[in-house]
Amino acid sequence: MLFYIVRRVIATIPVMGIVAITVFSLLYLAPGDPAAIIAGDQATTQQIAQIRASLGLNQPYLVRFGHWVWQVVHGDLGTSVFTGQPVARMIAQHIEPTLSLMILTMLIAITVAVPLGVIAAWKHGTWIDHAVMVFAVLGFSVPVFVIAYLLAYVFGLGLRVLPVQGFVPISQGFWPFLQCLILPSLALGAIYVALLARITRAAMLEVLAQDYVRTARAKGVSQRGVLFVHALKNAANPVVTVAGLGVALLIGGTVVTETVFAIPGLGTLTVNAILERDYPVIQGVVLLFSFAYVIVNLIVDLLYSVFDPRIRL
Amino acid sequence: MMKRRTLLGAAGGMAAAAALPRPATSAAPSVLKFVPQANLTLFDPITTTAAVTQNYAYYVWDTLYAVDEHLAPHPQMAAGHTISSDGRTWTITLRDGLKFHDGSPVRAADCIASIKRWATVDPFGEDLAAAVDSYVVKSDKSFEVRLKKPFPLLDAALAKPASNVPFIMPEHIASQPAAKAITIDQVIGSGPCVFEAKEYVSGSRAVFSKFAGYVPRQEKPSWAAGGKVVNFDRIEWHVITDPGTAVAALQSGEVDWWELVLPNLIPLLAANKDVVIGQGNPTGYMGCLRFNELFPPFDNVLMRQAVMMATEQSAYMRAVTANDPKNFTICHSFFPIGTTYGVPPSPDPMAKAPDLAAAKKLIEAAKYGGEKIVIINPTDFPSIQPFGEITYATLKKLGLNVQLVETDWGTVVQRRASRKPVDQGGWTIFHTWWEGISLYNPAVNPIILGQGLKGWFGWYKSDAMMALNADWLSAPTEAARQAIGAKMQALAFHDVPTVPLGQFYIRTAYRSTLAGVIDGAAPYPWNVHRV
Repeated sequence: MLFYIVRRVIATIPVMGIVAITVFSLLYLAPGDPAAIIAGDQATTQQIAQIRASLGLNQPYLVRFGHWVWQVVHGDLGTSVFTGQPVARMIAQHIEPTLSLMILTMLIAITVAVPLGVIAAWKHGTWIDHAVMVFAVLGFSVPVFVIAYLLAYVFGLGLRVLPVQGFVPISQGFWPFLQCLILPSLALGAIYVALLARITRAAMLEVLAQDYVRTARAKGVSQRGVLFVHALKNAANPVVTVAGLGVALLIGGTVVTETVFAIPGLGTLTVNAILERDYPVIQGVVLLFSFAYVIVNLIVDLLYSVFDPRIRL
Repeated sequence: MMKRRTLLGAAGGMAAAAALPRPATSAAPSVLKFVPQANLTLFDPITTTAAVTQNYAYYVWDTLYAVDEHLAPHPQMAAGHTISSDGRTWTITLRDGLKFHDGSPVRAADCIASIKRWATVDPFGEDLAAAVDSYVVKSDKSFEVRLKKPFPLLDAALAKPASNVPFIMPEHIASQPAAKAITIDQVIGSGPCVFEAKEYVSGSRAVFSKFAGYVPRQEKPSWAAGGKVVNFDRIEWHVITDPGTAVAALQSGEVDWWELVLPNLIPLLAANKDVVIGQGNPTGYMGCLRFNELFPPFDNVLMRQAVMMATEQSAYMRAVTANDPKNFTICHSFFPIGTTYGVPPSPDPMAKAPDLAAAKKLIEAAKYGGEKIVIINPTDFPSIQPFGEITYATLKKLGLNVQLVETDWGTVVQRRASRKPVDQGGWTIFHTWWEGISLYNPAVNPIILGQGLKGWFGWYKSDAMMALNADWLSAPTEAARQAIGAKMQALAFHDVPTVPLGQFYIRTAYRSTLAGVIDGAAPYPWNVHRV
């Protein structure tokens, strides 16, 4: 397994290289001029040109690309053309909210979705099964921001038990930290719950029809034991796969959720950087997301062998 | 039927929820939570004209002179000045006790460096720089401005209230070129608040603390003039880009003050007894339609006049004010109504607008050859997007060959800087708005100045206009200036470098626990206090 892990880590290098070339080239070709945005609406063409020159934005593509790659290879993601702060520092400032939001969302989603899917499969064809599926359809269909606004209205403005915006780092207290993340996690988690519940239900239905499950029942294993010990473990692989793929959904969803709840996460950082054409920040964040996604897929592959010992890596 | 177990569980949950600490509201008396109009990413108010940077700069720096609510300049950091009998030497003396946030005293050399840097980018500053022969430091507290010719508006120039504002920075910071923006680590202010760089998080938060070493003037504050007394130990800017979230945060008390309220949310806030709707900037915002005069068809004055003739200001204004007439003023002027020069000319060339028949006759007289008109329009700017769509519809009615290109604002500003023809990525018309205070006199008004390629986008060139501007700058009395201003306005209505689209207002809103909010060119932090 160690060799497998090393091989996969080495394989990320060409992947990251392709991502780097692609994102840099796309940004270079995309319309927009950070110098014009920096100068502001009332500036003249000369002022914009002077700012562009001072930022080195009028240098050729290869010069700029080579300079950036050299920096990245040495662990420097560059500096924001707007704030002048190191991109790495900006990412570090914004990573805690996004990670916290994603982890809490996944925890809530898995905790809710897997049992829901199991129960739906167990009670296949009954009103419980139909109710879970209706909930899943709603979770897919209702946009994240709609759920977010509804939650904010009810729990923030109406009941006044949770804040409608903002983020408190965990270092400033666990309950304030959690308070700020509950509504965003519920909003973001709805689609994740819907997805996982359906996959769990489908996988469980397939497994519950197997001979060994019938054998377990015949041996007198309790219903709980059949469902959660024998069946779920064998249904876990597709669930884990989809959970891993769903991280991409989460990354996209965090952008909307962070905007609605004013959470200063990587989603907010990315959107602002794109609108402002803050190229170093966009490049840095895309590289980070790509790397994170590669690692998540590696973890998913490793989990396969945990759930199914027949799989050898 | 509900089981007892379920009922008890629900009751227990509700009791537990009620016992939990409530979300923090801004009840602490020494902290003010403010929602700015945009994310603060640029820290140099000289490099950029961005309004959010100007607003933050008012917290952090001070100015030698400042305008009051009547737009009259008053000494601010300056104790006063004397003018030589020939009008060519101004001696400015600083007030006692002025310090930068690093504890160093504010010196004459700092002021000179700051003025010079500002004057390289600002139109009023450029006018001043053209008139200056030299700056001479007389002592740490006084300096002379020696002029080639009298410049009666020197104090007005140094009191310019809107971007770019001539803030006073340390000499070693102000000595760098204006195109090289000062960084977050170089922010050393002279104003009533210290910018806490270590607490800054882009897209989320900017924090200011009261500068204990600031020496306010003794007069009552009026706009940026007078005593700037900050009554909060700490002011937090919370960036909330989503208007729905901002309105919820204000209503729930999580924030105290929201700078710019979307017009369609005002009725919701007005119904809340805990929220006050303020005026905001009394000079409002002036919508503009700007032509590219480098290429046909709008290199022809008759075509520009035709478009103006077909323009109905109320349509534009209703589109950006949620159809509320209380939030706009018809403005047949290139200067904001309510200010000295904001008086429609007589006769008023826009009085009969829209007159499509007359406009078509002008188009015929202009011998329009079907040249493509490209309107570049932003989709992510709700207060500008409708302008482009209305103009597009109007030009179609006039039978012109027009294309509406809608992109995000970043792409608009990039394309707007292009001086190429439309088939090579150029443009013909764009729309925007200016804060009224940015246009309040001819010297600061780029939408009528004819600087050509050195001027604002559209590159309107008029030697006659620039000659009038020079006369205005050197006019000895306000009456003379007003007469020249009227001539400039008349010429602008003839040449139509810009079509004025009306003057609208964006309100501000704050909790009823706040008082002392000054309506002015910026959301000033002074005088605001909790009741």
